[in-house]
Amino acid sequence: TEDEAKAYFAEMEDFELDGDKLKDVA
Amino acid sequence: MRLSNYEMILPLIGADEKEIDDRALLVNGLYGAFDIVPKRCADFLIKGKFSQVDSSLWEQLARRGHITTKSLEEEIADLELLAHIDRRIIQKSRIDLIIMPTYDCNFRCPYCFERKRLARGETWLAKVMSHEMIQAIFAALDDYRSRGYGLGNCTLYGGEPLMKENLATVREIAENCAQREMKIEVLTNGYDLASFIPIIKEFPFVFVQVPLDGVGKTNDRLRRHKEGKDTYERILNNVDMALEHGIGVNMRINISKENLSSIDELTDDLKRRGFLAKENERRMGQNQRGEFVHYFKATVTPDRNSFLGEGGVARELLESGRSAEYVMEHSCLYGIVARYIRKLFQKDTYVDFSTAICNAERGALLVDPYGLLFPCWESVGDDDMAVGRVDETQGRVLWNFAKAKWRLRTSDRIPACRICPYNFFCKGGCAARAKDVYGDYFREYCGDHKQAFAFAASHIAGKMWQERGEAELSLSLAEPLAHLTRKERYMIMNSKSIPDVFAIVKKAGLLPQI
Repeated sequence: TEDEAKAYFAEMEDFELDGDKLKDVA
Repeated sequence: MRLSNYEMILPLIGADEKEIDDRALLVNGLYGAFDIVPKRCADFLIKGKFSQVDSSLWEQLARRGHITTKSLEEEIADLELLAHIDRRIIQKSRIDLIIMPTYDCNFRCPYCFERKRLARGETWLAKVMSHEMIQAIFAALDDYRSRGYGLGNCTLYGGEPLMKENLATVREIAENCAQREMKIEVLTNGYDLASFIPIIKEFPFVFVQVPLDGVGKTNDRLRRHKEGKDTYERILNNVDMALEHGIGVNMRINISKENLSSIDELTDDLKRRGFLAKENERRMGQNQRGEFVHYFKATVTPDRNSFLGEGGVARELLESGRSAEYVMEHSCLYGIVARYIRKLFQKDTYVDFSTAICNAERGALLVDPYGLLFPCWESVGDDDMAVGRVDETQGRVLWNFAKAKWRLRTSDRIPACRICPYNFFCKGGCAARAKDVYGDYFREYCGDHKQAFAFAASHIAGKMWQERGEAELSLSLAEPLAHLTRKERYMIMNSKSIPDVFAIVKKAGLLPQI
């Protein structure tokens, strides 16, 4: 689907926040 | 005004195991709102007689999302908004790693879900992850970190990750984790655990998980060494040695209809060997042993006649005279649900609104010794199921088409889950079990989640009511969501800027723990 194709490209995106500060929430 | 589509009305069970006659528990699964109300109020709600609900209670129930003027479509829009926030910000913030140093194993358990890998031959099975592949995996993680991602934990998995001939490989992986401040967990059969104690003490291992299937010969028959050697005594001696060295051990006891007697026999043997008494002493600060946790889990066996299910395990524990509290501590699924409900009742966080049940959907890197990437622990060894690979020459991750499918196997998209009140508590359930039941990884798997949730919520809320008389037990997402403007909702769903979305979410107070 279009959403699935978008999700594929999202795998390659940079994360524009500080993941180290957020990772404990995840 | 109507009852929310995500509403559950449950009985309250007191400490004496009897239903509390004059109260009921309302749970809104979409907003994570738990509220105790007079029983007659619950009856009015069930019958749709909203005008007969007391005015102040009406306001409370509306504010917290139990009763609503929203249409079903508007409630689903809230679900999609929350799932989108999780997918764009929370899930994206972290990369976890699961490494299989080898497919090989010194056991040949009859119910092993990886048995199919044995058909690929000894040479394929015996491959141990190379130095070059380990370097490439951690180079790929460094690339993720350089692009803003946080690094989560590393789990060692197999095959059997702790075979003594693989000491150097495990050490190299542990060194790389330590350099990046990644904590390590390991799932092992425990047979060679003693050889690894120095490495486990040296590096940031948080726990070791060791399964058992019974006492003595029962265990030796089900957790079968490939050369026919006995396993039980050696595993328990290794676990005791690890605990003495301050290493935490989770002992999982697999239960099916085939080994029901193991519940009592193993508990008795753990007592006889002093495991339980020493754990009590540790909790009181009287020794320096590692934490010892033991729990019972339904064996995932291909023999459907033998499969008990998590509800079956809980029922067996209760019928053997154990208390509800014991079940909520020592049954695998019931324990997970109970601990989570207790956390929500501390009122310092909203319900976890991720719609992804596990690492398969959340994007962890599960790497086999050949560098292939798999979505699910149970799909390893089947190359058709690979979602990509680690490029050994470039030190980066390459994905194929299947990756996109797995990322969206989430409970905001599975049709049966979208309107289910248990959405945020079961999150679509285990994909591998859905494959067992429906032949399709991308269906829902409810399992015994509903029973576990009802049991734990009724007991924990009932006890709290008796002890504190408190009616509003948790935070509700309905409140911060109500403050979002239409423009903010639009921006969350459509903005390409993660910082912009994060700013809106933070201002709305949806992530109080940050």
